[in-house]
Amino acid sequence: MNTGQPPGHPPTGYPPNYGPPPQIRSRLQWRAYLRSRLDAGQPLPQLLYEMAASGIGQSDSYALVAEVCVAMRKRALGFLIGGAIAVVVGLAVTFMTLQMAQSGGGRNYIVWWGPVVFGAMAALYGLRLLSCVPRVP
Amino acid sequence: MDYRGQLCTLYPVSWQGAVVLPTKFDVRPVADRYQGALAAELAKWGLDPGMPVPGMPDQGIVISAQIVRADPGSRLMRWLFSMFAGAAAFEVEGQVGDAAAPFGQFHAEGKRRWAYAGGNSEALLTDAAGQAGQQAATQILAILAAR
Repeated sequence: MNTGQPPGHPPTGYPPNYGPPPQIRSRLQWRAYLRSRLDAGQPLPQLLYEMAASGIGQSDSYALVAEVCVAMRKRALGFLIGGAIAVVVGLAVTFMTLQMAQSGGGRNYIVWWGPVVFGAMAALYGLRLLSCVPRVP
Repeated sequence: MDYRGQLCTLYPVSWQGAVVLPTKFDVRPVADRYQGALAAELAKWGLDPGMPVPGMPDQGIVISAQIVRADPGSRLMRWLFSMFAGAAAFEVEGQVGDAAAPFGQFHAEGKRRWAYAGGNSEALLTDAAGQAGQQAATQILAILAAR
């Protein structure tokens, strides 16, 4: 027998025939939760305490945190490196065309400010993301 | 595979343990969109999805799911970095089974990364939920076909 609710009622979400429902948060949910809290700047010890209070073993907690940290670091480095490359390319094109204009006697050169400005913003965002990645003991 | 007329008990998606990032709008219609897209896609393949009836045994294939993450993203970040940051994401995981026990699991994620001038977070999250529903249905059908 199920205790499913008709439409419009609060959802039950889990068939009672399947035995006890899963933990309050599944592994995927913990991962998403950790990532959102770490992004928001919550200290790691608080999160570890919360996981311990939910009955997650210490090794599992550290494994989850390590997985999240790897993903966060990868994303942050993507922004940092991508932004830096954009800045370098933007500056290189600007100075190359400036030099060509000066040496060739021309007066026109390209100021490619887009990649420089947005690349710098992306790099700064990457640095901010990187600063949120905790050091796992 | 022909699933025409096969009954399917589709439990309402659960919010238990879900990570819902702060929004300025009601997120319940987002879950409804997921549920609607999933039911529509299953119906397209001939399954007959229905809600569980209180006090009655589950019929046919039983599908239950819980939301992992509902993230409206950031309009400013989408405007600044378009495809690279601020995406709206909707992620679910769930089980497929019969009345006795589950025999498969699925994990679907819908993401909307781009909209003109950053777009509307509510609309993007709703679209992402629909995408997740379609993806979940595809995975469920694959589980049923492999069985």
